[in-house]
Amino acid sequence: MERIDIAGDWRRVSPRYAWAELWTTAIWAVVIAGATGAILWFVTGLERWAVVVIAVAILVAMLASGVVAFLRVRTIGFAMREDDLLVRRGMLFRRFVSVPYGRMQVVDVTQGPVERMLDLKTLKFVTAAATSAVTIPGLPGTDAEVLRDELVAVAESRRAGL
Amino acid sequence: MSEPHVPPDEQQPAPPAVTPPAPATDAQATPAAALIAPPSEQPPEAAQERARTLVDGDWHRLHPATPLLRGGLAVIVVGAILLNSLRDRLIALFLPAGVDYDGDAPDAIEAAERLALNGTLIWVLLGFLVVLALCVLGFWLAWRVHRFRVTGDVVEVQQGILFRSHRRAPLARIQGVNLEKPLFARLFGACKLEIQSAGADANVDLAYLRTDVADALRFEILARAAGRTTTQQHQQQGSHAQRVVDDFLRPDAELVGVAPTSLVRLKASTVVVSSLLDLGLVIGVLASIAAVVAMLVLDIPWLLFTLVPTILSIVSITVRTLSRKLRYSIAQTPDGIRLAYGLLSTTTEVLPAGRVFSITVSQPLLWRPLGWWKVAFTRATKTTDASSGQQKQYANVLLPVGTLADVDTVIGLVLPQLRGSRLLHDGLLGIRAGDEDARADAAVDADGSERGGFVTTPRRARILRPLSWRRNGVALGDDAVLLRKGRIWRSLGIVPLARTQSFALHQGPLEGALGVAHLAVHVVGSALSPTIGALGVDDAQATFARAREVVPAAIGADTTETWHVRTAGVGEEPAPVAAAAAPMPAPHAASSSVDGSAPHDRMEQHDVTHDEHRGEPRP
Repeated sequence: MERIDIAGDWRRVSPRYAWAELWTTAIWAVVIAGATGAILWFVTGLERWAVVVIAVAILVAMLASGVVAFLRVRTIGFAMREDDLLVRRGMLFRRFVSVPYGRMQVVDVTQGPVERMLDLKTLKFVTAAATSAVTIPGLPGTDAEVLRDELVAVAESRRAGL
Repeated sequence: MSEPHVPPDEQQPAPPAVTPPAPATDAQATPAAALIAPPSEQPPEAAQERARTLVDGDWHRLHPATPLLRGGLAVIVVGAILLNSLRDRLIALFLPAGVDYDGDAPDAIEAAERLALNGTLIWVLLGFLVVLALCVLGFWLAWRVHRFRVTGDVVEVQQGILFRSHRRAPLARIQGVNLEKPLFARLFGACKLEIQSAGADANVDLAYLRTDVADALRFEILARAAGRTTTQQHQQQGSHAQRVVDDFLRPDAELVGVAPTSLVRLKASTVVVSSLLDLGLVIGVLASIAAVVAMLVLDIPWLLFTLVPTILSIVSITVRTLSRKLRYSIAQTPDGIRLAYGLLSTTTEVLPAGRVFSITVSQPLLWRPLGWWKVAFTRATKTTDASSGQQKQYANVLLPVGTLADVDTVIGLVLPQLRGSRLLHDGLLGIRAGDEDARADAAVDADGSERGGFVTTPRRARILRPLSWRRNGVALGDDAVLLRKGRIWRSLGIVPLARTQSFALHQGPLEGALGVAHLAVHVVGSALSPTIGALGVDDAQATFARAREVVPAAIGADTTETWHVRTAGVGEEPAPVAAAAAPMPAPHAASSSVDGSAPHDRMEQHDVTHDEHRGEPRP
């Protein structure tokens, strides 16, 4: 097993972000399990216990995957180097993205309802290529705003065309 | 030397494409004079003069035939067909009750007589005339409100009666200028000027304009986009007369005066043969033959009903693609790469420097014995296809078919550093340039002059690329990253480093087990980014690490925002050296010198910064 890894001055995101993922997964799990159960109950002529078993199985499987978020969130990190922003994420499927600052088109800071509950924000660094998809979730307090201003400042000094 | 494309509407005294305040040009540009006088006597400045009046910052209208070309004709034709087929119904509608009308000739005449007698016919005719007049009025109004203007740094288009739209596009952001001459529009001497900006629906279409005006207007727009303030540098050489004749003979005629002729000569036979050697086409033909044989031998005549449409569609697709490829030419002009192609409907495009985001060189299987390749490129905009009217999905052809030397020439236009390099050669033909050799080369070539070879899939991971594992590889030069793939369907992706948006390194669990990873280069304008898989972990990480150093450097050194500085001297006088040369750290710092300003501010600064750059020595 030879994994890719890049040494660097990594900054981690808040571990609380795992809770955000878990809550989001839990909400979806309830919705999907409920919907599946309802469809099975009304459409097919299954016994009540079978429907309940299937719904619970979906719920448990999704919650189990949500629990993995605690491990996954530890792998999310970012590093600001002189010329580029390096973002990593993923445990089994690892992904490292390096974006030169000059490529910044827009920086988004977003906050969903679950994130608001936990006082976390997500920062999105948008380039002209749709595939770049650089997001840094789980930034607590005003970290996201601070990071955004930092990125905008450094990007302005290295602005380049498309 | 007949000129079937001389527009009939030009016989009107004042072509409305030029608004009244242009008395100076009236004398030469009077259309009647153009028709009577032999073309050789027409001053070459006429079109230039017209273009200059078009870009004076005032609003101008389009070619008077525009409503007709933009669908007005279709409306008339459809209306006529409807009227014709519904004639009987219509007459029956106005008939007095009790008359049995079934459309037979004697009855019809009788019915008409009755109508005429009781006065209905007049009303019917009047109604028809009113509808016709309304249509004409509508077209005329639409034409009246459809206006454009070109100011110092933006081009604006206003159109629409009920649904108004007003589009402004900054000239500094132009991705290319496309001149299309659909066959039908050519009959009116009209053509379509498409000013391309980055984005899915961000082009500014000036459809339709007078052909000679559009040619000159393009130079004006490109000149302004490049930051030139004067048009004098673009005085066209060569006689205007020759260009008029050439227009029908060559798609790139209007640019011959300023640009050298095509760098690549494609024989028509090559283009035809290469089109016929399409795998899909061959399979289709073979299947058709098999079907005919089966039909005759097994005696199943109904097969004909499926066969005929299939053959028809195969033929029409082949003819259409073929007519697009014929009369291809490519050249380097001061404003960028000029592409021209098309047999009946022609297109000429000018791609300013730095508007090619990635290149794909590939070799269809059947071309392999002949050593032919094709080159496609990605741009940040969508264009419409003149012949079919369909939107091409970002990918465009740089070279429809060509030998290795042609490919080399064409790529040299985009990335001069790659021209004739070993890297390019290995990328196209190499199978085992990688491995130990490559690593040794990379170590030796530490000065970065020409990085040797490709790093390829390690032996342990050959199960992922059973056939092509020795070919599958990546090379990172100082100017471009090359992705080499495919043993049977050979292809080479080239991305200029100055155009890459970001780099990514991925690894899934299976890849982890095999000790490999894959590398993606994110570029503008393609739904899928160029990727290369099955690279050894150490190689992939080394490439990734090097990309993080080289890419920002390449972006910083990119001078395409001021491309006229870079390409000055190609087919034109060198840019005049202004006395007020601003002290710049280095010519290469051009693109990064406008720091501290938001994008829109930058556009307004454009003229200023370019004036500064003009004084610099050419890099």
